[in-house]
Amino acid sequence: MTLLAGNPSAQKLLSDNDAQMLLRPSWPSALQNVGKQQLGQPEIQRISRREAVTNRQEIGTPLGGGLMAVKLAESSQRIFQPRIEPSTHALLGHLTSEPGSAFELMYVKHLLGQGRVAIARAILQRILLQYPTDEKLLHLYRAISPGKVVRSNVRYSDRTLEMDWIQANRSFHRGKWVALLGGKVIGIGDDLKTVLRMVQEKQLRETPLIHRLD
Amino acid sequence: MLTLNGIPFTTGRATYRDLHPANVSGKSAIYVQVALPIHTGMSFYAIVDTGSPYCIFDTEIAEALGFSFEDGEGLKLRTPYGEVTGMIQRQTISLVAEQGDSLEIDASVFVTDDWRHGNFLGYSGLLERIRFAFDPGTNSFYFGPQA
Repeated sequence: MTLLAGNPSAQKLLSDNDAQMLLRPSWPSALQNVGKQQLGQPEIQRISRREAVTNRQEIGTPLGGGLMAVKLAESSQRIFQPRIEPSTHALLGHLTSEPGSAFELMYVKHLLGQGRVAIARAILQRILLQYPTDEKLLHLYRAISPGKVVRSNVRYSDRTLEMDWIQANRSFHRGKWVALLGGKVIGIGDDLKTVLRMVQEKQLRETPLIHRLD
Repeated sequence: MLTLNGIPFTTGRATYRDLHPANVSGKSAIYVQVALPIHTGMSFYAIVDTGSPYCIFDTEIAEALGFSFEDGEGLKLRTPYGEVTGMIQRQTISLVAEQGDSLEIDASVFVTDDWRHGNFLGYSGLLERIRFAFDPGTNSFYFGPQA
């Protein structure tokens, strides 16, 4: 639980989640405030939740992000219209002066860093409708979009012999990289590049297994 | 190969290993053999990890495979080992078959110069694009393209 400071008569206990919502609106919500309505939840739903705890004028400023909360509470008294809020400058940092594709890109990268790929893809698709020639957005979309799958008529061994060699010899070569083919050592060394050079020199017809011996 | 209602479900089979002999930690996982068509000189083992969003390889392997650490938008990925900075790139990864056909998949690979925790095949980066099944009785990994 977080105590929201201000006029003692206006103090109210908030859950941590509510406090987070007031201090730091979600990215989709922030995007709405710069006019990208399609990226977030309907703002009117958030306003109604905050109204109960921000309907006193003194509430907000002591925790630093309260200006947004006051704005939202005021806006809840009338029909919501998306607009650029003065308080979003503090929340969005240097990007607020030019809220173009760079901002959306940052948001998508934030999602990707959390592994939220499906939603990142969906948002990126929508952003690309607005910025269809943005190279950075296109490049990122290509990197995360579902790619093609092709069958190839190639078969490898089950590597039983290689695994047996690793089990028998790993204690003698800890920390080394090794390339093995059918239980034979093709190359062994301190770094993988050296080992791959050894493999290339042998000009093998089959593909060796490489592994670092921990 | 496996069939579903009389129709082929998978097209390739390989042996998976649930305990890699080179791994001293003894941690069990599903290790399958992969190769990269752009670099035919080697194959290696990677863990099938549906909890990982992307494929990720040890930095030394990524370097040897010629991945660029500067090609793409940098982002921070949350991992059990902490936050790692890198970028997502598209690479073709081959799931190697011992029987049937191998699969070449355009995968999303998280490339970083700061990863020494093993090789992983992630869900959104690769696994969501294929059919796969495991038979623990024979340590068989079956895979194939989506219909």
